[in-house]
Amino acid sequence: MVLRLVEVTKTLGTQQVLEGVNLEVAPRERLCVVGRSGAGKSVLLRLILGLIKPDSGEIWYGETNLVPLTDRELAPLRREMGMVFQNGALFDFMNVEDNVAFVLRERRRPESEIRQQVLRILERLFLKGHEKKMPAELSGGMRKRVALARAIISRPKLILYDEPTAGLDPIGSTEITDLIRCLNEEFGATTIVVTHDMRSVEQIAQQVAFLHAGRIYKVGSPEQFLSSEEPVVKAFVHGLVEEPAVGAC
Amino acid sequence: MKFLRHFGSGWSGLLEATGAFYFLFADVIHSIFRYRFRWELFLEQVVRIGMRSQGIVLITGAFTGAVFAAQTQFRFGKFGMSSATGPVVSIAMLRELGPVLCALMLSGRVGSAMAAELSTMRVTEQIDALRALAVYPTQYLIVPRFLGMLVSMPFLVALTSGTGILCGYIVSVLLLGVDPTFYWDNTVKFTGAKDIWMGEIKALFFAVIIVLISCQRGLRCRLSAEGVGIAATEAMVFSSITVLISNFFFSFLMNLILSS
Repeated sequence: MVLRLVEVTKTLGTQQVLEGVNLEVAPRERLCVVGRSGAGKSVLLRLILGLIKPDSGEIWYGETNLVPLTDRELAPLRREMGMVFQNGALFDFMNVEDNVAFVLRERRRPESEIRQQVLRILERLFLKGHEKKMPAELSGGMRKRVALARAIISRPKLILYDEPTAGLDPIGSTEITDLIRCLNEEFGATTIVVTHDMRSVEQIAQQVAFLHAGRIYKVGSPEQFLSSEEPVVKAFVHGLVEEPAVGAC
Repeated sequence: MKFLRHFGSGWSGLLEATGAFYFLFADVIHSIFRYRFRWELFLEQVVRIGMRSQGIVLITGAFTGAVFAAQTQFRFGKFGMSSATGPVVSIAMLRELGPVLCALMLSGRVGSAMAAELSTMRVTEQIDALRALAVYPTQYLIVPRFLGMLVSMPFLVALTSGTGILCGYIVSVLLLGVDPTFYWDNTVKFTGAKDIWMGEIKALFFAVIIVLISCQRGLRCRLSAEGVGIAATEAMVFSSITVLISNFFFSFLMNLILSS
């Protein structure tokens, strides 16, 4: 297994978000973690990346437990990971080209090689001609693609996507999901996508993990997940509400 | 009961902020020696802090020196002590007014900008993105600002004090008719190297205060637009107050040391 979470718990403020998450991710797998808003999906990604620490439990990346490691100790492992944040989290003081080249410059690659790789990846993600634009000048979809380019340019072994299609129109959403699938096949990186967009799940996932009430409620193939008769899963997949919302017509 | 709770939370907040200040200071010092030095980011900060603050510190120094000289001369002139105006202005500018006013201007201009910038980065997850890309935020964001401020501040204080002394001379001699020879002779005679050093040491001390308080406010802001505004305001208010309070104790201590 590339990644293994064992009884991970996390409390934010007074709310216990994760109450004992167990999850295993195989090499080169495309896993979609789904669940309602506020279920703790993004928290799960931050825990994997070591941006926050769990209250208890273990997070194994290969043979290393990430939980006791400091930021400095995590750095070499983070170099093997890439993350696409929900809003891109692009550096707003750099243009597109510099954002994408950032990782390679940090690793002190030769400038000629950096330029070549950046141009290649920007072309691959349909961003050619936008190199000199600042993040504020980009549309939501373009920003996501730049974030994607920045995350994958160093060829990470594990890529984490936080709501990659949130806020995009259907065409932009399909473009991103196609890219995620293609890049996974091309680079062979293990991919974890956090989303509540069922269309994306269908297009991307090889495995689906449903996060509910602070635990992984169900893990299975997209077919098993979408055709599940379990009330909680069925309600989520088909958007069924148990009780009408207050004030609903 | 409500008063006690309010009083208690105020003290615990102060203790927490003091602790965070020292932790950040230790982290910055450690990062300076642990990680590679980023010349480009450092020089960018020197330009932003040092070069672009020259205008406001020039104006601050010039008008403070001018008004201080005028007020001193109006009083001293009545007692025939016009030639003492020069040393009073120069010592006050070098020891107190130059460093303190320059620090106050920089806490407004640079400190609040640092806090706003860092808090915006925090709110928009850019700091998390740095960590995700295996870059240590203290090294990338704080160390260049810290060193940039440390290098710029002594020059800016020298500029403030120097302009103040020059404008004091212009006002006293050209506008109020003080004898230029006596004025300048007494200024040089009663102003020592230790007056200059005291101002410059204060400059370094205030630079550390401003940059650490401002960065710490920025890094610990609440995750909202309001949080960014609060961080910028707090950076300016807290660093200004700390500069004013610490200046008293610092001056007191330095005078004891230098006079002994």
